[in-house]
Amino acid sequence: MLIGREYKIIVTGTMGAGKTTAIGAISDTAPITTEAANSDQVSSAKASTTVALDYGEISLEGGDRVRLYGTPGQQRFSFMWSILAKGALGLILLIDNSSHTPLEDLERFIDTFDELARDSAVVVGITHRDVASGPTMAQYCEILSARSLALPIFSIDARDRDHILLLVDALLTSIEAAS
Amino acid sequence: MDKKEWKVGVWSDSLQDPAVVRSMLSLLGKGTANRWSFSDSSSADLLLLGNSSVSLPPSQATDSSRIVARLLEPGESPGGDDVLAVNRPLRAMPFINLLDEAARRLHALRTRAAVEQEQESASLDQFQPQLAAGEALHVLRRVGFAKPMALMSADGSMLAMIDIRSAALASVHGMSELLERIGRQFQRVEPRTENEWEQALPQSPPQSLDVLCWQLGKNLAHRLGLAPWLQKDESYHLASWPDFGAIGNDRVGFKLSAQLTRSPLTPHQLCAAASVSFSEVASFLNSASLCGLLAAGPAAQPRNAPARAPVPGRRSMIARLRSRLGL
Repeated sequence: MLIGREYKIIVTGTMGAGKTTAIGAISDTAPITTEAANSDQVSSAKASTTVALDYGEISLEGGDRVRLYGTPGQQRFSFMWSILAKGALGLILLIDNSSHTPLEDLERFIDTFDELARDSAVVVGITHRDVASGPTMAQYCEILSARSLALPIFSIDARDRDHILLLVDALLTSIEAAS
Repeated sequence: MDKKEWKVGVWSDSLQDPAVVRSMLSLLGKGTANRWSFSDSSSADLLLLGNSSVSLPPSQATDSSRIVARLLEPGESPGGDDVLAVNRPLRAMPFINLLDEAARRLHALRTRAAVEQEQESASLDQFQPQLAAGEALHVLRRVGFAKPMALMSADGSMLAMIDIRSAALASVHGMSELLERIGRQFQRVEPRTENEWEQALPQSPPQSLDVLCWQLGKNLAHRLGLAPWLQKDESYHLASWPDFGAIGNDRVGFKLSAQLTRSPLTPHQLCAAASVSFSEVASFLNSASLCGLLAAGPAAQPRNAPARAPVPGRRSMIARLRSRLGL
Protein backbone atom coordinates (compact mmCIF):
# COMPACT_ATOMS: atom_id res chain seq x y z
CA MET A 1 0.00 0.00 0.00
CA LEU A 2 1.39 3.36 -1.06
CA ILE A 3 1.55 5.71 1.91
CA GLY A 4 2.05 9.32 0.97
CA ARG A 5 1.97 12.62 2.76
CA GLU A 6 -1.12 13.85 4.53
CA TYR A 7 -2.52 17.35 4.54
CA LYS A 8 -5.35 18.84 6.55
CA ILE A 9 -8.05 21.36 5.65
CA ILE A 10 -10.36 22.51 8.43
CA VAL A 11 -13.95 23.51 7.77
CA THR A 12 -15.30 25.56 10.62
CA GLY A 13 -17.89 28.18 11.37
CA THR A 14 -21.22 28.84 12.99
CA MET A 15 -23.83 26.17 13.61
CA GLY A 16 -26.09 25.76 10.62
CA ALA A 17 -23.71 27.52 8.22
CA GLY A 18 -23.28 24.41 6.06
CA LYS A 19 -19.99 22.85 7.16
CA THR A 20 -21.15 19.22 6.96
CA THR A 21 -22.73 19.89 3.57
CA ALA A 22 -19.52 21.56 2.33
CA ILE A 23 -17.35 18.57 3.28
CA GLY A 24 -19.81 16.24 1.60
CA ALA A 25 -19.55 18.30 -1.59
CA ILE A 26 -15.83 17.70 -2.08
CA SER A 27 -14.97 14.52 -0.19
CA ASP A 28 -14.08 11.44 -2.23
CA THR A 29 -16.09 9.23 0.06
CA ALA A 30 -19.32 9.83 1.89
CA PRO A 31 -18.24 11.93 4.85
CA ILE A 32 -18.39 10.49 8.34
CA THR A 33 -20.63 12.72 10.36
CA THR A 34 -21.13 12.83 14.11
CA GLU A 35 -24.54 14.34 14.68
CA ALA A 36 -27.01 14.39 17.52
CA ALA A 37 -30.33 16.08 18.16
CA ASN A 38 -29.88 19.80 18.47
CA SER A 39 -30.71 20.87 21.99
CA ASP A 40 -29.86 24.52 21.27
CA GLN A 41 -32.88 25.64 19.27
CA VAL A 42 -32.21 29.25 20.28
CA SER A 43 -28.96 29.41 18.32
CA SER A 44 -30.27 27.38 15.40
CA ALA A 45 -33.54 25.75 14.41
CA LYS A 46 -31.73 22.72 12.97
CA ALA A 47 -33.01 19.33 14.05
CA SER A 48 -29.53 17.90 14.42
CA THR A 49 -26.03 19.28 14.71
CA THR A 50 -22.41 18.07 14.65
CA VAL A 51 -21.19 17.12 18.10
CA ALA A 52 -17.70 15.89 17.42
CA LEU A 53 -16.04 16.09 14.03
CA ASP A 54 -17.15 15.57 10.48
CA TYR A 55 -14.56 13.82 8.37
CA GLY A 56 -13.94 13.48 4.68
CA GLU A 57 -10.90 12.95 2.52
CA ILE A 58 -9.53 13.54 -0.94
CA SER A 59 -6.99 11.12 -2.39
CA LEU A 60 -4.32 12.57 -4.63
CA GLU A 61 -2.13 11.06 -7.27
CA GLY A 62 1.05 9.74 -5.72
CA GLY A 63 -0.59 8.44 -2.59
CA ASP A 64 -0.95 11.79 -0.80
CA ARG A 65 -4.18 12.53 0.98
CA VAL A 66 -6.02 15.67 2.05
CA ARG A 67 -8.07 15.13 5.20
CA LEU A 68 -11.10 17.34 5.72
CA TYR A 69 -12.18 18.03 9.28
CA GLY A 70 -15.43 19.77 10.04
CA THR A 71 -15.55 21.20 13.53
CA PRO A 72 -18.73 21.54 15.56
CA GLY A 73 -19.97 25.10 15.43
CA GLN A 74 -21.19 25.51 18.97
CA GLN A 75 -19.11 27.61 21.29
CA ARG A 76 -18.77 24.79 23.86
CA PHE A 77 -16.69 22.86 21.36
CA SER A 78 -14.34 25.78 20.75
CA PHE A 79 -11.52 24.04 22.68
CA MET A 80 -11.10 21.78 19.63
CA TRP A 81 -10.66 24.50 17.11
CA SER A 82 -7.12 25.67 17.78
CA ILE A 83 -5.96 22.07 18.39
CA LEU A 84 -7.23 21.07 14.99
CA ALA A 85 -5.76 24.13 13.30
CA LYS A 86 -2.18 23.14 14.15
CA GLY A 87 -0.42 22.03 10.98
CA ALA A 88 -3.44 22.69 8.81
CA LEU A 89 -2.92 23.55 5.16
CA GLY A 90 -5.81 25.97 5.34
CA LEU A 91 -9.19 26.77 6.79
CA ILE A 92 -12.62 27.28 5.25
CA LEU A 93 -14.75 29.44 7.52
CA LEU A 94 -18.50 29.47 6.93
CA ILE A 95 -20.65 32.13 8.55
CA ASP A 96 -24.45 31.90 8.60
CA ASN A 97 -25.76 35.30 7.57
CA SER A 98 -29.17 34.48 9.05
CA SER A 99 -27.85 33.92 12.59
CA HIS A 100 -28.48 36.51 15.29
CA THR A 101 -24.88 37.70 15.45
CA PRO A 102 -23.08 36.99 12.16
CA LEU A 103 -20.58 39.85 12.46
CA GLU A 104 -19.62 38.87 15.99
CA ASP A 105 -19.33 35.26 14.83
CA LEU A 106 -16.87 36.28 12.13
CA GLU A 107 -14.85 38.26 14.65
CA ARG A 108 -14.73 35.36 17.05
CA PHE A 109 -13.57 32.80 14.51
CA ILE A 110 -11.03 35.10 12.86
CA ASP A 111 -9.50 35.87 16.25
CA THR A 112 -9.39 32.17 17.15
CA PHE A 113 -7.63 31.26 13.91
CA ASP A 114 -5.51 34.39 13.76
CA GLU A 115 -2.29 32.58 12.86
CA LEU A 116 -3.80 30.86 9.83
CA ALA A 117 -5.47 34.11 8.80
CA ARG A 118 -2.15 35.99 8.93
CA ASP A 119 -0.66 33.30 6.68
CA SER A 120 -3.43 33.93 4.11
CA ALA A 121 -4.61 30.37 4.64
CA VAL A 122 -8.23 31.23 5.39
CA VAL A 123 -11.17 31.74 3.06
CA VAL A 124 -14.59 32.90 4.28
CA GLY A 125 -17.98 31.89 2.89
CA ILE A 126 -21.08 33.80 3.95
CA THR A 127 -24.11 31.54 3.62
CA HIS A 128 -27.87 32.18 3.67
CA ARG A 129 -27.58 35.71 2.27
CA ASP A 130 -30.60 34.90 0.13
CA VAL A 131 -32.85 34.22 3.13
CA ALA A 132 -31.82 37.05 5.43
CA SER A 133 -31.00 40.66 4.59
CA GLY A 134 -28.36 40.61 7.32
CA PRO A 135 -25.13 42.59 7.19
CA THR A 136 -23.78 43.67 3.81
CA MET A 137 -20.62 42.11 2.39
CA ALA A 138 -18.94 45.46 2.98
CA GLN A 139 -19.65 45.13 6.71
CA TYR A 140 -18.05 41.69 6.79
CA CYS A 141 -15.03 43.06 4.89
CA GLU A 142 -14.70 45.89 7.40
CA ILE A 143 -14.18 43.35 10.19
CA LEU A 144 -11.28 41.84 8.26
CA SER A 145 -9.86 45.27 7.36
CA ALA A 146 -9.94 46.31 11.02
CA ARG A 147 -7.57 43.39 11.66
CA SER A 148 -5.41 44.32 8.67
CA LEU A 149 -6.58 41.20 6.88
CA ALA A 150 -7.64 40.94 3.24
CA LEU A 151 -8.93 37.39 2.93
CA PRO A 152 -11.14 35.98 0.20
CA ILE A 153 -14.73 36.42 1.43
CA PHE A 154 -17.60 35.35 -0.80
CA SER A 155 -21.37 35.02 -0.55
CA ILE A 156 -22.14 31.36 -1.25
CA ASP A 157 -24.68 28.58 -1.08
CA ALA A 158 -23.07 25.68 0.80
CA ARG A 159 -25.36 23.23 -0.99
CA ASP A 160 -23.83 24.24 -4.32
CA ARG A 161 -20.70 22.17 -5.03
CA ASP A 162 -19.41 24.84 -7.42
CA HIS A 163 -19.50 27.40 -4.60
CA ILE A 164 -17.50 25.10 -2.31
CA LEU A 165 -14.99 24.54 -5.10
CA LEU A 166 -14.83 28.34 -5.50
CA LEU A 167 -13.79 28.63 -1.86
CA VAL A 168 -11.18 25.86 -2.19
CA ASP A 169 -9.77 27.40 -5.38
CA ALA A 170 -9.47 30.81 -3.75
CA LEU A 171 -7.86 29.23 -0.67
CA LEU A 172 -5.26 27.44 -2.78
CA THR A 173 -4.54 30.59 -4.83
CA SER A 174 -4.13 32.57 -1.65
CA ILE A 175 -1.73 30.00 -0.18
CA GLU A 176 0.32 29.97 -3.41
CA ALA A 177 0.60 33.75 -3.47
CA ALA A 178 1.80 33.79 0.13
CA SER A 179 4.71 31.44 -0.55
CA MET B 1 -22.81 49.60 -59.77
CA ASP B 2 -21.94 53.26 -60.35
CA LYS B 3 -19.26 54.00 -62.88
CA LYS B 4 -16.15 54.70 -60.90
CA GLU B 5 -12.61 55.70 -61.74
CA TRP B 6 -9.96 53.15 -60.96
CA LYS B 7 -6.22 53.15 -61.51
CA VAL B 8 -4.17 50.37 -63.05
CA GLY B 9 -0.40 49.97 -62.63
CA VAL B 10 2.17 47.51 -63.94
CA TRP B 11 5.01 45.81 -62.08
CA SER B 12 7.18 43.96 -64.57
CA ASP B 13 10.76 43.47 -65.60
CA SER B 14 9.62 43.95 -69.24
CA LEU B 15 9.64 47.56 -70.42
CA GLN B 16 7.01 46.65 -73.01
CA ASP B 17 4.31 45.73 -70.54
CA PRO B 18 3.63 49.25 -69.17
CA ALA B 19 3.65 50.72 -72.65
CA VAL B 20 1.22 48.13 -73.99
CA VAL B 21 -1.16 48.50 -71.05
CA ARG B 22 -1.09 52.28 -71.32
CA SER B 23 -1.96 52.23 -75.01
CA MET B 24 -4.67 49.57 -74.51
CA LEU B 25 -6.29 51.78 -71.86
CA SER B 26 -6.36 54.77 -74.15
CA LEU B 27 -7.94 52.72 -76.95
CA LEU B 28 -10.42 50.68 -74.90
CA GLY B 29 -11.21 52.83 -71.93
CA LYS B 30 -14.72 53.71 -73.11
CA GLY B 31 -15.58 50.06 -73.69
CA THR B 32 -15.30 49.17 -70.04
CA ALA B 33 -18.00 49.50 -67.40
CA ASN B 34 -15.72 51.84 -65.43
CA ARG B 35 -13.13 54.49 -66.17
CA TRP B 36 -9.55 53.34 -65.93
CA SER B 37 -6.39 55.38 -65.93
CA PHE B 38 -2.74 54.36 -65.83
CA SER B 39 -0.74 55.12 -62.69
CA ASP B 40 2.48 54.11 -60.98
CA SER B 41 2.34 50.82 -59.11
CA SER B 42 2.30 52.30 -55.61
CA SER B 43 -1.07 54.07 -56.10
CA ALA B 44 -2.77 51.54 -58.38
CA ASP B 45 -6.06 49.90 -57.44
CA LEU B 46 -5.33 47.05 -59.86
CA LEU B 47 -1.73 45.93 -60.19
CA LEU B 48 -0.67 43.86 -63.18
CA LEU B 49 2.30 41.63 -62.34
CA GLY B 50 4.41 41.02 -65.42
CA ASN B 51 6.45 38.08 -64.15
CA SER B 52 5.65 35.56 -61.41
CA SER B 53 9.20 35.75 -60.13
CA VAL B 54 9.06 39.51 -59.71
CA SER B 55 8.63 40.49 -56.03
CA LEU B 56 6.73 43.54 -54.98
CA PRO B 57 8.26 45.95 -52.49
CA PRO B 58 7.19 44.89 -48.95
CA SER B 59 5.00 47.99 -48.45
CA GLN B 60 3.01 47.16 -51.58
CA ALA B 61 2.95 43.41 -51.00
CA THR B 62 0.88 43.83 -47.83
CA ASP B 63 -1.55 46.43 -49.18
CA SER B 64 -4.96 44.78 -48.86
CA SER B 65 -6.85 47.68 -50.44
CA ARG B 66 -5.85 46.73 -53.98
CA ILE B 67 -6.07 43.60 -56.09
CA VAL B 68 -3.41 41.93 -58.18
CA ALA B 69 -3.71 40.33 -61.62
CA ARG B 70 -1.05 38.41 -63.58
CA LEU B 71 0.23 39.00 -67.09
CA LEU B 72 0.77 35.46 -68.39
CA GLU B 73 2.82 34.12 -71.26
CA PRO B 74 0.91 32.89 -74.32
CA GLY B 75 -0.80 29.59 -73.49
CA GLU B 76 0.06 29.78 -69.77
CA SER B 77 -2.82 28.96 -67.45
CA PRO B 78 -3.65 31.16 -64.45
CA GLY B 79 -3.36 28.27 -61.95
CA GLY B 80 -6.80 28.62 -60.33
CA ASP B 81 -10.37 29.67 -61.09
CA ASP B 82 -10.23 32.63 -58.78
CA VAL B 83 -6.89 33.98 -60.03
CA LEU B 84 -7.22 37.18 -62.03
CA ALA B 85 -4.99 36.99 -65.12
CA VAL B 86 -4.71 37.78 -68.82
CA ASN B 87 -2.39 36.32 -71.45
CA ARG B 88 0.04 38.21 -73.59
CA PRO B 89 -0.18 39.57 -76.21
CA LEU B 90 -3.02 41.67 -74.80
CA ARG B 91 -6.23 41.39 -76.82
CA ALA B 92 -9.19 43.78 -76.53
CA MET B 93 -11.95 41.51 -75.14
CA PRO B 94 -9.85 39.57 -72.59
CA PHE B 95 -8.39 42.87 -71.40
CA ILE B 96 -11.83 44.51 -71.11
CA ASN B 97 -13.15 41.43 -69.25
CA LEU B 98 -10.18 41.60 -66.89
CA LEU B 99 -10.82 45.27 -66.13
CA ASP B 100 -14.56 44.71 -65.58
CA GLU B 101 -13.91 41.75 -63.22
CA ALA B 102 -11.25 43.75 -61.42
CA ALA B 103 -13.69 46.64 -60.96
CA ARG B 104 -16.33 44.26 -59.58
CA ARG B 105 -13.88 42.86 -57.03
CA LEU B 106 -12.60 46.30 -56.08
CA HIS B 107 -16.14 47.52 -55.52
CA ALA B 108 -16.85 44.54 -53.23
CA LEU B 109 -13.59 45.16 -51.36
CA ARG B 110 -14.34 48.82 -50.78
CA THR B 111 -17.95 48.14 -49.80
CA ARG B 112 -16.81 45.57 -47.21
CA ALA B 113 -14.31 48.06 -45.81
CA ALA B 114 -17.00 50.75 -45.63
CA VAL B 115 -19.38 48.38 -43.80
CA GLU B 116 -16.67 47.47 -41.30
CA GLN B 117 -15.94 51.11 -40.68
CA GLU B 118 -19.64 51.80 -40.18
CA GLN B 119 -19.90 48.92 -37.73
CA GLU B 120 -16.86 50.26 -35.89
CA SER B 121 -18.51 53.68 -35.64
CA ALA B 122 -21.78 52.10 -34.50
CA SER B 123 -20.03 50.11 -31.80
CA LEU B 124 -18.19 53.24 -30.71
CA ASP B 125 -21.56 55.00 -30.47
CA GLN B 126 -22.77 52.15 -28.32
CA PHE B 127 -19.62 52.30 -26.26
CA GLN B 128 -20.00 55.95 -25.20
CA PRO B 129 -23.02 55.30 -22.95
CA GLN B 130 -21.14 52.41 -21.31
CA LEU B 131 -18.18 54.69 -20.66
CA ALA B 132 -20.46 57.36 -19.24
CA ALA B 133 -22.11 54.78 -16.96
CA GLY B 134 -18.70 53.55 -15.82
CA GLU B 135 -17.51 57.07 -15.05
CA ALA B 136 -20.70 57.82 -13.12
CA LEU B 137 -20.40 54.64 -11.05
CA HIS B 138 -16.74 55.34 -10.37
CA VAL B 139 -17.53 58.80 -9.04
CA LEU B 140 -20.38 57.48 -6.89
CA ARG B 141 -18.07 54.83 -5.39
CA ARG B 142 -15.31 57.34 -4.73
CA VAL B 143 -17.53 59.75 -2.85
CA GLY B 144 -19.38 56.88 -1.15
CA PHE B 145 -22.72 58.36 -2.14
CA ALA B 146 -25.21 57.40 0.54
CA LYS B 147 -28.48 57.81 -1.36
CA PRO B 148 -30.11 55.41 -3.81
CA MET B 149 -29.50 56.46 -7.41
CA ALA B 150 -31.40 55.87 -10.65
CA LEU B 151 -29.60 55.05 -13.90
CA MET B 152 -31.52 57.05 -16.51
CA SER B 153 -31.74 56.62 -20.26
CA ALA B 154 -31.72 59.40 -22.83
CA ASP B 155 -35.52 59.11 -23.25
CA GLY B 156 -36.10 59.73 -19.55
CA SER B 157 -36.94 56.15 -18.57
CA MET B 158 -35.24 54.49 -15.60
CA LEU B 159 -32.94 51.59 -16.46
CA ALA B 160 -32.22 50.54 -12.88
CA MET B 161 -32.00 51.81 -9.34
CA ILE B 162 -28.84 51.17 -7.34
CA ASP B 163 -27.74 51.43 -3.74
CA ILE B 164 -23.99 51.74 -3.35
CA ARG B 165 -24.05 51.02 0.41
CA SER B 166 -25.65 47.60 0.08
CA ALA B 167 -24.18 46.94 -3.41
CA ALA B 168 -27.71 46.15 -4.56
CA LEU B 169 -29.48 46.80 -7.82
CA ALA B 170 -33.18 46.83 -8.65
CA SER B 171 -34.23 46.56 -12.28
CA VAL B 172 -37.06 44.96 -14.23
CA HIS B 173 -34.38 43.82 -16.71
CA GLY B 174 -32.14 40.80 -16.33
CA MET B 175 -28.42 41.52 -16.14
CA SER B 176 -27.63 40.82 -19.82
CA GLU B 177 -30.48 42.97 -21.06
CA LEU B 178 -29.62 45.73 -18.58
CA LEU B 179 -26.02 45.85 -19.80
CA GLU B 180 -27.21 46.00 -23.38
CA ARG B 181 -29.65 48.83 -22.57
CA ILE B 182 -26.97 50.74 -20.69
CA GLY B 183 -24.74 50.38 -23.73
CA ARG B 184 -27.40 51.91 -25.95
CA GLN B 185 -29.32 54.31 -23.78
CA PHE B 186 -27.59 55.39 -20.55
CA GLN B 187 -27.34 59.15 -20.13
CA ARG B 188 -27.19 60.19 -16.46
CA VAL B 189 -27.74 59.29 -12.82
CA GLU B 190 -30.38 60.90 -10.61
CA PRO B 191 -30.80 60.67 -6.82
CA ARG B 192 -33.80 58.86 -5.41
CA THR B 193 -35.33 58.72 -1.94
CA GLU B 194 -35.14 55.80 0.48
CA ASN B 195 -38.91 55.45 0.03
CA GLU B 196 -38.57 55.07 -3.73
CA TRP B 197 -35.85 52.47 -3.20
CA GLU B 198 -38.04 50.48 -0.77
CA GLN B 199 -40.92 50.60 -3.25
CA ALA B 200 -38.75 49.48 -6.17
CA LEU B 201 -37.33 46.40 -4.43
CA PRO B 202 -40.45 44.18 -4.27
CA GLN B 203 -41.16 44.80 -7.96
CA SER B 204 -37.76 43.64 -9.17
CA PRO B 205 -35.76 40.57 -8.17
CA PRO B 206 -32.71 41.72 -6.18
CA GLN B 207 -29.50 41.68 -8.13
CA SER B 208 -25.91 42.37 -7.24
CA LEU B 209 -24.52 45.77 -8.22
CA ASP B 210 -21.07 44.17 -8.16
CA VAL B 211 -22.07 41.86 -11.02
CA LEU B 212 -23.07 44.88 -13.14
CA CYS B 213 -19.88 46.74 -12.23
CA TRP B 214 -17.70 43.70 -12.94
CA GLN B 215 -19.10 43.18 -16.42
CA LEU B 216 -19.04 46.91 -17.17
CA GLY B 217 -15.35 47.00 -16.24
CA LYS B 218 -14.64 44.10 -18.60
CA ASN B 219 -16.55 45.80 -21.43
CA LEU B 220 -14.59 49.02 -20.94
CA ALA B 221 -11.31 47.08 -21.03
CA HIS B 222 -12.34 45.44 -24.29
CA ARG B 223 -12.54 48.86 -25.98
CA LEU B 224 -10.24 51.08 -23.95
CA GLY B 225 -7.87 48.93 -21.97
CA LEU B 226 -7.35 50.72 -18.66
CA ALA B 227 -10.31 52.95 -17.71
CA PRO B 228 -9.69 56.71 -18.02
CA TRP B 229 -9.69 57.18 -14.24
CA LEU B 230 -6.83 54.68 -13.76
CA GLN B 231 -3.15 55.39 -14.49
CA LYS B 232 -0.56 53.04 -15.95
CA ASP B 233 2.15 54.43 -13.67
CA GLU B 234 0.12 54.39 -10.45
CA SER B 235 0.44 51.65 -7.82
CA TYR B 236 -2.85 50.19 -6.62
CA HIS B 237 -3.85 47.84 -3.85
CA LEU B 238 -7.05 45.92 -3.27
CA ALA B 239 -8.93 46.80 -0.09
CA SER B 240 -10.88 43.50 -0.18
CA TRP B 241 -11.30 40.57 -2.46
CA PRO B 242 -14.15 40.91 -4.96
CA ASP B 243 -17.15 38.76 -4.07
CA PHE B 244 -16.56 36.00 -6.58
CA GLY B 245 -19.48 34.12 -5.06
CA ALA B 246 -21.75 36.70 -6.70
CA ILE B 247 -19.56 37.55 -9.72
CA GLY B 248 -18.64 33.98 -10.65
CA ASN B 249 -15.50 31.89 -10.74
CA ASP B 250 -12.58 33.82 -12.20
CA ARG B 251 -9.18 32.11 -11.86
CA VAL B 252 -7.34 35.13 -13.25
CA GLY B 253 -9.28 37.31 -10.82
CA PHE B 254 -8.15 35.04 -7.96
CA LYS B 255 -4.51 35.38 -8.94
CA LEU B 256 -4.71 39.13 -9.29
CA SER B 257 -6.65 39.52 -6.04
CA ALA B 258 -4.11 37.40 -4.16
CA GLN B 259 -1.29 39.61 -5.46
CA LEU B 260 -2.94 42.98 -5.05
CA THR B 261 -4.14 42.36 -1.51
CA ARG B 262 -0.55 41.64 -0.45
CA SER B 263 1.26 44.68 -1.85
CA PRO B 264 0.61 47.72 -4.05
CA LEU B 265 1.60 47.23 -7.69
CA THR B 266 1.36 49.16 -10.95
CA PRO B 267 -0.60 47.47 -13.75
CA HIS B 268 2.58 46.28 -15.45
CA GLN B 269 4.07 45.00 -12.20
CA LEU B 270 0.84 43.10 -11.62
CA CYS B 271 1.13 41.52 -15.09
CA ALA B 272 4.58 40.24 -14.19
CA ALA B 273 3.73 39.13 -10.66
CA ALA B 274 0.67 37.13 -11.74
CA SER B 275 1.91 36.14 -15.21
CA VAL B 276 -1.18 37.43 -16.99
CA SER B 277 -1.67 39.75 -19.95
CA PHE B 278 -2.13 43.51 -19.68
CA SER B 279 -5.64 43.26 -21.12
CA GLU B 280 -6.60 40.86 -18.30
CA VAL B 281 -5.06 43.21 -15.73
CA ALA B 282 -6.90 46.18 -17.24
CA SER B 283 -10.20 44.29 -17.13
CA PHE B 284 -9.62 43.34 -13.49
CA LEU B 285 -8.57 46.82 -12.36
CA ASN B 286 -11.51 48.47 -14.18
CA SER B 287 -13.96 46.06 -12.57
CA ALA B 288 -12.40 46.24 -9.11
CA SER B 289 -12.45 50.05 -9.20
CA LEU B 290 -16.12 50.09 -10.20
CA CYS B 291 -16.84 47.74 -7.29
CA GLY B 292 -15.16 50.24 -4.99
CA LEU B 293 -12.37 47.82 -4.01
CA LEU B 294 -9.35 49.50 -5.56
CA ALA B 295 -7.25 52.18 -3.89
CA ALA B 296 -4.15 54.02 -5.05
CA GLY B 297 -0.88 53.58 -3.18
CA PRO B 298 -0.14 51.18 -0.32
CA ALA B 299 -2.68 50.10 2.29
CA ALA B 300 -2.78 52.20 5.47
CA GLN B 301 -1.61 49.19 7.51
CA PRO B 302 0.61 46.36 6.27
CA ARG B 303 -1.66 43.38 5.72
CA ASN B 304 -1.23 39.65 6.12
CA ALA B 305 2.11 38.11 6.92
CA PRO B 306 5.12 38.55 4.64
CA ALA B 307 5.67 35.79 2.11
CA ARG B 308 7.08 32.68 3.72
CA ALA B 309 9.66 30.26 2.37
CA PRO B 310 8.13 27.75 -0.02
CA VAL B 311 7.31 24.39 1.53
CA PRO B 312 8.87 21.54 -0.50
CA GLY B 313 6.27 19.69 -2.51
CA ARG B 314 3.54 22.20 -1.65
CA ARG B 315 3.05 23.51 -5.17
CA SER B 316 2.91 20.00 -6.59
CA MET B 317 0.31 19.01 -4.00
CA ILE B 318 -1.79 22.08 -4.76
CA ALA B 319 -1.64 21.31 -8.48
CA ARG B 320 -2.70 17.70 -7.86
CA LEU B 321 -5.52 18.79 -5.55
CA ARG B 322 -6.79 21.20 -8.21
CA SER B 323 -6.64 18.48 -10.79
CA ARG B 324 -8.45 16.04 -8.50
CA LEU B 325 -11.26 18.52 -7.87
CA GLY B 326 -11.49 19.48 -11.53
CA LEU B 327 -10.38 23.08 -10.93
